[in-house]
Amino acid sequence: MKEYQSTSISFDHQLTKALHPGDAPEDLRLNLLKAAKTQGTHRTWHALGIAAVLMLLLGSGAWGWMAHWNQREGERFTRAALQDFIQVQRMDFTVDASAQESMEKCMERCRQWSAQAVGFSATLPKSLADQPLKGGNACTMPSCRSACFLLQDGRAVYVFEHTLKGLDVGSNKRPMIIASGYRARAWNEDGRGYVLIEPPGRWKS
Amino acid sequence: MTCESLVDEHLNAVHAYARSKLRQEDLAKELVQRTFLKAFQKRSQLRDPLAARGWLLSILRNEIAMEFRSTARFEVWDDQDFEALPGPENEEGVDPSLLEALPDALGRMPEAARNLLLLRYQQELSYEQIADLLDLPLGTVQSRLHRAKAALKTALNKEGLSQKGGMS
Repeated sequence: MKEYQSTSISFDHQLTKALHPGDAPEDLRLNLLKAAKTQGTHRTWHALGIAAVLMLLLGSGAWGWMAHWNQREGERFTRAALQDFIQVQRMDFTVDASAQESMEKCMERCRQWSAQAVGFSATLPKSLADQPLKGGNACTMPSCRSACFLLQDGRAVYVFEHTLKGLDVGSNKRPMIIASGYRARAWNEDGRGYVLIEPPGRWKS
Repeated sequence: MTCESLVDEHLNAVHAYARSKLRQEDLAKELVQRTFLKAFQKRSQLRDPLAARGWLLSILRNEIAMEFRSTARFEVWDDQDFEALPGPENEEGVDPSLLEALPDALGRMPEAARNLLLLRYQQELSYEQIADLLDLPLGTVQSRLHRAKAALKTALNKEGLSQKGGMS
C-alpha cells in the first residue's frame, strides 16, 4: 500500500511538473493589466459619483430644511414673544406718567435705554409712535436680540434687532396667532422686526 | 482581491487551460481576455480569494461553451468516454523521457478525460474544487480521474514502446 502511494504520487508529480503552465503571452498580460487599472479607475469614479450624489441629496435636504426653518422665523419669534409676554411680568425701565414727556423725548429715552440694555437702538414702530408708553424690558430670545415696550393700554411691542424672515408685506394687517384671548401680529419695518401683543379685552382693530 | 492580482496570480494558468482546451492561440487569447474582463466586473462576487482559480475557470468554461455554441462546434462528452478508456494497470511513474510525448498523448485523450487531467495537474485544483466546477459528485471525479490518469500512462508507455520499436 505504501509502495502504491509513493509510485502514484510520483506519477502525479511528473504530471504536475510536465503540465505546469508556462508564461501567458506578454501582450495579453499587458492588455489585461491595462484593463485592470481602468477598471479600478472606473470603480473609483463610480464611488466618487455615488458620494457626490449622496452629498447633493444631503446638501439639498439640509438646504430645504434650512429654507423651511427660515420661512417660519416670523411665526417662531411671534410665538416666543407671546410666551414671553404671558410669563415675564417685569419692567427694566419705566416712564413717569406724571412727567408727560414729549413723544420725541420719550422715544429718545427708549433708544438710549435699549442701546445700553439690549445692545441696539430700539423704538416703537411708526403706527404706534403716538401711543403712551409705560415702560420696557430686555428680552431673551434665541439668536436675536430684542426689547419689549409696554404701552399704557396694556399692549406690548416686541422689537427685534433684525427683520424676521417669512413675513409678507401685509402681515401687520392680520393676526399671526390668536390663543387664549391673546392676539399677536408681526411685521418688518425699517430693518427691524416687530411683534404686537394684544391681551384679552385690549384688541384694537 | 484586486484586478491586478487576479491577472498576476492566475493569468498563466487560465491561459494554459484555454490553450490546452482550444488548441488555437488566437481564440485562447480572446476568450481569456473576455474571461478576465468579466471577472473584473463581477469581482465583488468572489468572496474567497482561494477560490479565485476555480471561479475564473468557470467563467472561461462558460465563454468557451458560448463560443462553440455560436459557431456550432460544441462537443458533448459523456460517460462512454470513460468506459472506453483502458482500465487501471499500476500506479508507477513513467520514464521521464516519455513525458516529452505528453502533449500528444493528452491530445488523443477523450475531451472529458483530458479536461479532468488538466484541471487536476495543470490547474492544481482539489477534487472538491473540480467537483464544484464540473457539478459532479466527488466520488465520480475521483474514479474518473483515476481512470483518465491510468489511460494516459498506458498511452505514454505505448508511445515509448512504439518509439523503441521504431528505433530498433
